[in-house]
Amino acid sequence: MSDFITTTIPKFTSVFSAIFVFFAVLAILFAIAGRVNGKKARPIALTLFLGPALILLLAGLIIPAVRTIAFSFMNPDSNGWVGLANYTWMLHDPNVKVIMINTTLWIIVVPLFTAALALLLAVMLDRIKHESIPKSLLFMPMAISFVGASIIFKFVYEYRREGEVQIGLLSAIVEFFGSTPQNWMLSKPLNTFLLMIIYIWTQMGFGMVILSAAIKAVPADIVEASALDGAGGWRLFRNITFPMVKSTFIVVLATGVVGALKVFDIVRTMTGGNFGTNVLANEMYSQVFVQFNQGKGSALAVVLFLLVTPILVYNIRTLRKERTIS
Amino acid sequence: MKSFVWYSPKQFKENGYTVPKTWDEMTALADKMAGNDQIAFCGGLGSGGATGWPGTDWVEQMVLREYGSKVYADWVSHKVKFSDPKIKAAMQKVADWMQNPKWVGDVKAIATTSFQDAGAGIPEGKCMMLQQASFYGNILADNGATISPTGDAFAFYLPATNDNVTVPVVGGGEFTAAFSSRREVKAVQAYLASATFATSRVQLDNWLSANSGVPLSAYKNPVDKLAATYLANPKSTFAFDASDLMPAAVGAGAEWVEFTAWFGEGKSIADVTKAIDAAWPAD
Repeated sequence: MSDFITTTIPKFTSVFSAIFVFFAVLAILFAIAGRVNGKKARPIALTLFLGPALILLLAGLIIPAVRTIAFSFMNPDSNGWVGLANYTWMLHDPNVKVIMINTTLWIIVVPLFTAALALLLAVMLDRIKHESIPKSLLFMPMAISFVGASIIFKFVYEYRREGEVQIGLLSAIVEFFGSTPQNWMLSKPLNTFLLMIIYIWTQMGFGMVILSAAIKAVPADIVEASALDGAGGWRLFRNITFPMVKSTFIVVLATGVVGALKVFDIVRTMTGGNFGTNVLANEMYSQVFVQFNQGKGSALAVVLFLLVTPILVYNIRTLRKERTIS
Repeated sequence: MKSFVWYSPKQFKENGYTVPKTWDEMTALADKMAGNDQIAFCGGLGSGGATGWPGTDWVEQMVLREYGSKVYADWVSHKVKFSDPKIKAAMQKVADWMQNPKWVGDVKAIATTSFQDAGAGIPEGKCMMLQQASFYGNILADNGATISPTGDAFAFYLPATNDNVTVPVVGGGEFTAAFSSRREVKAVQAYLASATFATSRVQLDNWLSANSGVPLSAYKNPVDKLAATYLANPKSTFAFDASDLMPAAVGAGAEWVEFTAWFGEGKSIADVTKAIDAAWPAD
């Protein structure tokens, strides 16, 4: 009880006073905005309402972006200019070459497989009995963080030296088919693809749900009309369903590309970037926070940013186009 | 204190092995174990994002054992490069030891085994010896092993390899840094450096001191006590963990990555040392 009085009550007091102050500030701002009229009303209202958002955007996005770009031309401690040295390092370092190849593989393989599998599942599970049960099960991995999923797959890919009992699921399957399991995380280039499976496994369900919603939104009269015209199965899918969900499919693809570019947790948890599995985001983290090289890390961040930008631009454009059509 | 080899006194007794005092005795013992179809040395480089650090320890042990403090210090400051024949020879000696398939079994698996898992089989004799630091007893004890000279697990001193380097000891440590030179700050620093503080801190367990004023009776943990005899020995050739002293781009970057590739991907010593030297910061 005494604990409650000495620690809990003061905590609540500070929480409530913070909320109170927040609303008080809002009330004052609204009062000011409401009072002003005439010519100045619009500009003042604009600054009052957009100001906080702009300040947050500036502090959270624009200033860090500018700083990162500046740091990428500076030395590890960010106190002297080094010109393009951090970028030429990227061109010449053999490890960075591996990183670039892997990142490229990630952005090609992962979105394609995620979106294709998601579409396949969405079509196959559409209108079956108890549709929601398999769908929920497939969607569930989405709720697991990448680190959590990686730890699960660490056990799946676990390898014990020859002669010992294999406890990994993958090794067990391989043994069941009469083959000898390998040290999975060491077998290049298979290991990178094994890591991709983790990503696909967690993200597939999300794509499936979105695509499934899009399939359900295909008007029934069109489907019926095409059925009357004799279209069925594959033709129905190719000529009616897919064109109608194409934009959603592209959104799923683009989300996959952005996600694959940023992939970090899986690689860090599974291999730490060793054995030829390193990717851009992991190297960026390692440079800045382990090797204390802000210059190289920032240069990698800038490259990552440049790679993501065209996809974001494309995404926003298609969204805009759709809006103008409807 | 890092110059330890973990083993199981019970397993040694069962098999009639004795703790080796010299490097040659240790290799002879390893051969004997191999003859009995036992894995002589376990090893694990895995440590999440820091994978590879146990490998840096092994190379440090060997550089200090073979050449002593002077070369070790020059190596830390990069006057002696990784590609120097001396360092390469030390690495070859590590390879003859921890990459010897006769003694370690699956060499590549060392790169994918976590350092915590590496020694887990010692009490049951799945593998017989593991070079790891004094703290490793805590990991084994967490697995339920009793740590004592007659128990499931204990440590012996990693023997010297060169008679010219007396009692080589590699270790890590903590620093107390002052941010001002006020009198009271200096007083606290003096206290933290005193035998009085070290003794009372040692009594709280899991802590070691090289301070010769700390009585050995202050140690509760038998491994810490053993470690302290080497740290406080005036004849010891002590070296601070080299990878911790080197620039982070090497000590927490290239060295980890390249040593992991050395074990896991069979990268040659020549290529490994070349890549580490290339990663050394220019200024």
